[in-house]
Amino acid sequence: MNLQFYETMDDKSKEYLLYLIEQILPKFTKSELQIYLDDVESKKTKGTKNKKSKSKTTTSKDYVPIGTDVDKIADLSKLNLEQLKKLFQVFISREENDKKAVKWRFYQNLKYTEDLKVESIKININSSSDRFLDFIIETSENKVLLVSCHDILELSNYKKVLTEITNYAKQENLLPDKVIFATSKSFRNIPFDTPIKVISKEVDPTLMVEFIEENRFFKREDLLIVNDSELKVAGFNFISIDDLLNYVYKHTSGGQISIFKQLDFYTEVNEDDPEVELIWKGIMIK
Amino acid sequence: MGFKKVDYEELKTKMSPNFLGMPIREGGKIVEKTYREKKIESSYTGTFSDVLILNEEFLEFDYYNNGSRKSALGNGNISIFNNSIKDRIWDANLQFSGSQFNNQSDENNISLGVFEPSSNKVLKYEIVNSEEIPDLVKLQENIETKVEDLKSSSSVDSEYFTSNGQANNYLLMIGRENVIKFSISIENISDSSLEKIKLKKDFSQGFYDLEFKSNSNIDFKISRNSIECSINNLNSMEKVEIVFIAKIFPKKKENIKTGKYELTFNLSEKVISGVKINKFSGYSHAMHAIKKSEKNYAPNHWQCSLIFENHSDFKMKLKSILIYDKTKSKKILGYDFSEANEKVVLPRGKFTSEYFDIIDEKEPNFTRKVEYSVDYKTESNSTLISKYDETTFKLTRVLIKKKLAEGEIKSFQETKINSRIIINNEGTIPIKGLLVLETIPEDFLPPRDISEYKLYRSSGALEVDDLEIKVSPDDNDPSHEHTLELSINLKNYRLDSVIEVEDFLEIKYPLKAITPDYKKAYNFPLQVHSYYPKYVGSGDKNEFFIIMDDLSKMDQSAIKISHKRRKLMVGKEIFPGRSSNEFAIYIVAKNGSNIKLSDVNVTDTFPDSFELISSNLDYKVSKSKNNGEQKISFTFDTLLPFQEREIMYYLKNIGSSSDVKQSELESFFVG
Repeated sequence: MNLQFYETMDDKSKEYLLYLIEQILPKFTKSELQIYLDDVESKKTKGTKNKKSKSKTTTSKDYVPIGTDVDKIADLSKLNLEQLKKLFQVFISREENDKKAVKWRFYQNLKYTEDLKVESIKININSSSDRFLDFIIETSENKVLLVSCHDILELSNYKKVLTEITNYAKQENLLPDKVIFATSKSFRNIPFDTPIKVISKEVDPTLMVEFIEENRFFKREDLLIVNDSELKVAGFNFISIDDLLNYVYKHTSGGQISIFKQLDFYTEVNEDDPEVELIWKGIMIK
Repeated sequence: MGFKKVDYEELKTKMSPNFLGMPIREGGKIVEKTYREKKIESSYTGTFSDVLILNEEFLEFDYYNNGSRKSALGNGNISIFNNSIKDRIWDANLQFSGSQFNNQSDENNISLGVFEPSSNKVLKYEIVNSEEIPDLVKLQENIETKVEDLKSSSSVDSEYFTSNGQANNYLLMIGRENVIKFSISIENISDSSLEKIKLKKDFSQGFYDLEFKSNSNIDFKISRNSIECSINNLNSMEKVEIVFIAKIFPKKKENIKTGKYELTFNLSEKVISGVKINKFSGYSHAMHAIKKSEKNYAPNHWQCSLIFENHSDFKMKLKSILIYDKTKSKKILGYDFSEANEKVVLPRGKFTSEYFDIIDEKEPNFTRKVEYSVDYKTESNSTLISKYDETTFKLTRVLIKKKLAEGEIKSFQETKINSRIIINNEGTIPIKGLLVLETIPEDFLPPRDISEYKLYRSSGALEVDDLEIKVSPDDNDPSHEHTLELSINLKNYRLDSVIEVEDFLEIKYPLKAITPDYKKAYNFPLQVHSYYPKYVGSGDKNEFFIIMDDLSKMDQSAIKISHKRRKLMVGKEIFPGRSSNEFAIYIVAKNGSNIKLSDVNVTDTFPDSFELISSNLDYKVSKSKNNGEQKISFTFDTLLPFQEREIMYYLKNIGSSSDVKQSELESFFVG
């Protein structure tokens, strides 16, 4: 058995699903899970009731801080089967590839990526389909990044994002330092070589694409063991070796690092003497 | 990776399922990390990995139809693959040379940094001296057209006419099925073996019944508008012959192309441009140490050796080992593993130096330097595409008319007839020269004076000194037929053409009918041989394609001989009237010939003692001054062949005598 598609799984029991969902990394906090559930079920988030913006323009009221309750790990045991299934399809099998799936996987990636020095994140909770700005990120260098997530980035959507950014910037008197387009796929005709003019400022657009490394050294069913069990993570959390190394860098103390894989740990019955293979060896200096 | 930042260049050019739309061609020199797009044969056996440096070049040669090169463009990749699934390589350096790098020195040393396991990096370059690269193959095309009535002036015996060389005119005849044989020879003129050769020939619309022929065992595929064939390899100076046959039936004047060729082949273990990979170096997991053992029997005497352990899956090449004393003032051991004395340490293998003894009270310390690198292998290959332009077939069609100004002449009577021959060029190529062959039947003679032959084109009279006539047999005897040969512009070729495209030539000359017999049917069979140059421009003037057209297939001319003889009879009869002094005169005119008679005048006379009562036709009466007789005249406008017409008029005697004699009315009758 493999974890490629929900439908092809032999065991769809709630217990097994919950076991897998609990291996999703980074772990959801209580508030993150609530916002996620509201978003995928298209509900308004608590605390924003009666504050529904009727304006066609996204306002700052639509953005709420997310991930601030880092100590409160979400309790997943209360999720129903449908919610577990959805989480499986977005984060484990990654067979869901709509805008929301891309958006939440990007958010998970933000938590450990080395590319952006994330200080705080605000998420757009206005789930209206004509809203394109999904995150406002502040970095440790006091830069403001606007993020627009897409399943497929088309030129028409790109232009709509530019309009929304300009409107938002005018309304909130905010000039972004960077605009990020996070997507699963992109058309080649998007003019990423042309700076975006936001009021008086020219900002270079950045394209971030979700690449799945086909020939990575581990499968989603494998257990990945860092050093002498310093860290144990599920293979399905990472889609490339760089992705894995970013996470390991963030969650270990660095130094000499060896990463091993235990084949099919999450789908096969464990053997007494499991086969473990070294897949990466190197130094991580912190 | 996860979400990876993608730059604009990568979005535009990189092949990836994440990018939608066609990528643009990569060019220029970019060092970039790429995904593995190609399965590379690796010697990896689970515990054994290698570094592969693959140098690939792609060249595209464009040729004119005559075989001369139009342009050459090329680019190359140097791809470095780390085929280990677990070992990284770092501090990687690549040194290569070649004249292709116009923006770098002859010898290039590029730092490539770190290679993650199973990753690769690609160095791209453009081949700047591609124009100087010699041709590797010679492709020759020979086009033969098989049509009845089409011959070559140089190989008359052959059914085919052959166009050698590239500046040829290729002819097709309009309104006929043309069978075209394309003979292609591909010769490897390089000193290397060529592999995976593919030849594709395009056919423009209208070709049908495509066929492929070759003596060699060659795979081929025929589609609607092309034939493709594959040849496994072609050794140096080896030649292969291929024949494509196709049919076409041009219905009108249209642009028909001969069809392009595309030849693709590989050159293994070689790059065309001369780029050389001189050196690659990089580090992976290895450990070196000096083992120091105090001798059992001799305290303070240390037996030392250097060990080098390869902890990676790569073969490791030791380059040099230098061991000095602690202060680096005295050299203790030195190894220089040059090319001749190469030292390769296998994965998880170990190298131990020779032992050296040191006397020291304390544990001895040393200064050492070990130079090593992961080993690598290089592969190279080139892919070349040669594209050959097509040319256009020239279409030919000639229309011939012959007119005799006098469509009808009299029999047995010498008559001069004006003969006109009109030749229209309805093809797409001018006619260089003409040979007109006319059969003059017996009883006719052609003129023998060349000045009597006049030529005209649409622009007016054509003065041509290159006009010859030949009459055979060479006599003036009209009792047998003669052949008239008119040769125009076929001796000195002074004119560029006799008939330009969409123009005509009119030949006028007088023909003499000597004693034409109306019982014979005379035809004037006419053949026109049109001469088309074999070569475009100033080719060999003595070589022509000759197309023969026959008037009989178009518009046979004939002449009618009229045998004209007159035959007429006019009769007169007198009838008495009711009274004795009244008479009716009946005159009948009979045309007994096959000729139409015009203005037939009939005149009669009667004495002045008679007066005219009436007549069935208009008449004129006049009185003679001499004898007083009256003259009555009638005129028939026409009297058709074998027509009979009647005149009846009435007279009354107005004289004193009551006894009128008929004899007086039997007067002189003119008719």
